[in-house]
Amino acid sequence: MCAYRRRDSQYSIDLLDANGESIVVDSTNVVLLKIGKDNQIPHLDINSSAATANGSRIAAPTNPIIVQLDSEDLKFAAGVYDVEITVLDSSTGSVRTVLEKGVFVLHETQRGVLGL
Amino acid sequence: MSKIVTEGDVRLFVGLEGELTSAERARVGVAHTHAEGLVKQFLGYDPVQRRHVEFYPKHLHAGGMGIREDEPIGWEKSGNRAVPLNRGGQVSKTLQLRHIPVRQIKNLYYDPDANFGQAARTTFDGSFDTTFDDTDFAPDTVKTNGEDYFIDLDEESIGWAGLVYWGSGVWPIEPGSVAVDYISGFSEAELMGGADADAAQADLARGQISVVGVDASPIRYAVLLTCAKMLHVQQSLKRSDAGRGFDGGNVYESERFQDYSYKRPSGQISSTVQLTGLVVGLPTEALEALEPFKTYGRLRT
Repeated sequence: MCAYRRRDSQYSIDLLDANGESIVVDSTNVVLLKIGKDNQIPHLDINSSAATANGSRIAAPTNPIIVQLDSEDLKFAAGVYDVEITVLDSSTGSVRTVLEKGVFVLHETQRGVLGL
Repeated sequence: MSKIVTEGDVRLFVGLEGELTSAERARVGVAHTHAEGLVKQFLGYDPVQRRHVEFYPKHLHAGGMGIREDEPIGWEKSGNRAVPLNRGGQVSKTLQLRHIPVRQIKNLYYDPDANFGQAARTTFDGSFDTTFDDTDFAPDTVKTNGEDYFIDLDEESIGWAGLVYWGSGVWPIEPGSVAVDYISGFSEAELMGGADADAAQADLARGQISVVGVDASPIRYAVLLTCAKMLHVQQSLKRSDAGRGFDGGNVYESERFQDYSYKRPSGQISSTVQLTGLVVGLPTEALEALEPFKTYGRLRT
């Protein structure tokens, strides 16, 4: 997974079970996405229940889920981070299941006013 | 404990950015942990930015290393004892903190009767934290930054030497009479080598201090090199053929050219391991990358 620094990004992520079958997250559950480093406050922490102040959001329940990252939320240093996608299962209380943990690369971009 | 590099860093560096098996993820995790430990051991401090609470001076010679003040300065009262404040020049104008670079001192306490925070302690709560037990390092023993003490800063919010000056002469010499609650280490943007204004602002929102232009990325590179070496040795040791034993890896086991030939023993520890050894210490390149960041100040603490 990668994005460009200070630029909007949108992802479509397929959720598959262990047999490779598509799964749909129940509307009562919450999908969480964190970008950062283990054991530290994430640079970006978004979930499907509410957008961030800058507008980054996760559209679920759908499959694939749609992740939108706003350019204002992607101002941290370019580099390699961990991305963690988790689902909060409301039917079993507060059990959080890690769906995927992967690599997130934030690429550097040029300075200047966007769109010019 | 926070890490210097991300798991993603390691995976990308060794070409494992795709989906991992459980075994591969475990191997990456083990190599990652040990590589970070070796780098921190070599540096002599934790380069990841966080808060520390430590007691000073560690012993009567803590000033040391030629930075001394030999002028007699009088006596200090400790309980019912009088303590001389210059024992043959063992007092110092500077205090050396263990972790660098120093970013901010949250609180500095001076309590001559605290004895490393144990003098008035009746029960041990299992941890040293910013709330000291009983009456040791009480709020009225907090000293004022800029007046009672000041940090040796190279620029705002970063002091590479880790030195703190006592404002009115020399530091107290009673072991464990000073407690320093401080923040040291590099922010994530600095470790990434990308500390510009936007990144510094983003780090600040997460409670980290960044200085634009500070580049600690060689520390990350050293961890990644060490990880790659460890994973290479692990791969060489991986048992892939139970009948044969350890996998020989991608090296020649025999070779012949005219009258010259050689053959390595098979069915034993792999040839790769024979060639590389089980050495999993820091590679030479990693040592070179780390050298500018190493501290020798620990000799004084």
